[in-house]
Amino acid sequence: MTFRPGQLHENERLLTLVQGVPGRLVLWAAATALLLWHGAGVVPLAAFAAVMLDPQRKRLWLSVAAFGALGGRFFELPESPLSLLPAAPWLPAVLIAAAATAALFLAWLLARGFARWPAAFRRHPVLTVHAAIWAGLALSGLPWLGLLALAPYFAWRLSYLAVSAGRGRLAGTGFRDHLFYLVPAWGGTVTPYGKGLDYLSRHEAGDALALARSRLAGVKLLLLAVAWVCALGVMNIVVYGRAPELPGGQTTRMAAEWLAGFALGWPSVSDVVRSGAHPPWYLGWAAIYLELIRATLALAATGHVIVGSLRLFGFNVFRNTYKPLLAESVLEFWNRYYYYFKELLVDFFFYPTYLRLRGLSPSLRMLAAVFAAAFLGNMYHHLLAQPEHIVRLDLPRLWTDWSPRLLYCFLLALGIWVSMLRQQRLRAAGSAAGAAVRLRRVAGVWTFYSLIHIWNLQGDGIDLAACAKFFLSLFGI
Amino acid sequence: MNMEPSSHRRALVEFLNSVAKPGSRVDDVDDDTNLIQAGLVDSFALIQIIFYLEQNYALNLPALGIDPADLATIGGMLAAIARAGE
Repeated sequence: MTFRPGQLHENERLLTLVQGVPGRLVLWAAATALLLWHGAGVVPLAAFAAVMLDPQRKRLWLSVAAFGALGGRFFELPESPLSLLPAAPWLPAVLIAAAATAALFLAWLLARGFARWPAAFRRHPVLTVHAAIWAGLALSGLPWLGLLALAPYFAWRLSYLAVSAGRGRLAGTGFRDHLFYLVPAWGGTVTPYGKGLDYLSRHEAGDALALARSRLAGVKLLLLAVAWVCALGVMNIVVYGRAPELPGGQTTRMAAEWLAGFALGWPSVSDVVRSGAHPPWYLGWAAIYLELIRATLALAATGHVIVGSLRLFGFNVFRNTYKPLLAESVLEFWNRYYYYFKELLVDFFFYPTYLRLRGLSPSLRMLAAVFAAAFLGNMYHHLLAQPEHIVRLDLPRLWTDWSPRLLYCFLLALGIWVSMLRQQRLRAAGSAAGAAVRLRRVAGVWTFYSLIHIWNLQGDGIDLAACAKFFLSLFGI
Repeated sequence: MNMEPSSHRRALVEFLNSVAKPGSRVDDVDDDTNLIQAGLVDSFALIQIIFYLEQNYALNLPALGIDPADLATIGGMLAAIARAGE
C-alpha cells in the first residue's frame, strides 16, 4: 500500500499499529508534542492523557477537565476581592469554578425538566436561553465575578443544550454528558466547535478502529496546523515585515532573521484603512487579497488545533476550515471558511426561519432565511460576543464600532442568496465547467470576500467612513 | 403521497440523484450513509431535500421535532416520511 501523508488516518498499517499499546504510546507522545508546540495548557494535556489511558470513561475525564478549565480561566482575576487572600491564591479560582459548575448544573436541571416549562418557553427554547443571558448581563453589576462576563461563551453552548432538550434527546444522559461540551477541554471561542451533544454523539468513535482513525485524523490536523502557523509566520515577515510569533528557539529566530532580508514591508489593510493615507491602487488590491489569505491561514491554524484535539478525544468531526480558497462559489466559501460559525447561524437562524415560512415562494423563503442567518444572526452573534456597549447603552460607540460590520453582514447575506440562486440554475443546467471557467469562479469568490472584508475590519480608527474611503480608493475614486 | 415504503425510497433516490453533486449518484448508498459527509450532496442540497419532503409528504419538521441534520441520510428521510404519515 502506498503511503499518502494526506490520508494517514486511512492507512491500514498505521490504523492497526495505533490500536496496540506501543502504537498508542507513540501516538500519545506525538500528539502531546504537537499540542505543546501549539501552546496547549496543562488541562487539555492531562485530559488527553487520561482519555488515552481510559477511553471508556472519556466523558467523565472531559468533565473533570471542564472543571479544571473553568478554574484556569478564573485563576488570574486581579479584580476579585477574594484575591486578597494571599495565603490561598488558588481559592478564588476554585470557588468561582465551583459556582460556574453549579450554574451549569442548574441549567442542565432546567433543560432536563423541559416538558414542565411554560408553553411559551417550550416553543422558543433558544430565545429563552438568550433572554435569560441578556437579563443576567443587564443586571450584572459585578464584573469581577467573571461568571456573567462568560455568558456569551456559554450562550450558544446552552442553546445547543436547549435544542436537544426541545427534541427530547436528554433522556438517558447525565450532567457529565453535557458539562464536557459546555466547557470544552479542547478549547474554543464563543463559537462552539463541535456544536452540542447531538452532533458530537453522531461523530463519536464507536469502536477501537474508529477511535484509531479519529486520533490519526487529529494528528494530521495538528500537523497541518503547524504548516499553516509557519506559513503565516513567513507571510508576516516577508509581506508585512513583522516579527513573527512562532514557537521555537534559536533556529526559528535565525530563519526569521534570514527571511527578514526579503521583507516587502507592505501595509496590511487595517494599517491602510486606519492611516487614511492610501497606497497606489495595485498595493491596495494586493493588500485586500493578501488579507483574505492571511485571515484564512490564521483561522485554519486555530481551527485545526481545536478540531484536531476533538478528534484526539475520539470525536471525528468536520474540519472548521476546509480549502475555502479553492471554493468556486460564494456559498461554497461560506460553508468551508468557518464551518462551526456557519453551522451555528444555520442551526439557530436559517432553519428556524426557513421552516416557519412554509407559505412563501421558495426563493423568497430562501432570501428571508439567508438574511436571518448571515445578516441578523451574524450581527447578533458579534454583538453578544462583546456586549459591553449594549449593556451600558453606549449607542454612539455602538454605531462607530458596528456600523461597518452591519454593511459587511448585509453584503455577505446578499452574496450568499445570489450564490444560492446561481447554484440552483447551474445545477439545473447540469453542465461541467472547464478549468478556465473554474479559475474565473475562484477569482470571483476571492474578489467578493476580499472586498466585503474591508467592512469586517475591527480596531481603533476603523469606522464606516474610513472603510468607505479605502474601498473607493481601490477604484481610483 | 400514498405510497409503499419501497416506492418512497425509489422516489427519494430519484430526487436525490437530481440534487447530487455532478458525477455522483446515490442509487447504491445504504440508508445510514450521511450523504453530506460522503460528499454525495452539499449542505445546500439539504434545503432542497427539506423542500421536496414538505411538498411531497407534507412534512412539518418543527411540528415533528425533527433536526434537519437527521435528513442527511436516506434512512433519516424515510423515518421522517413515516412520522409525517402517522
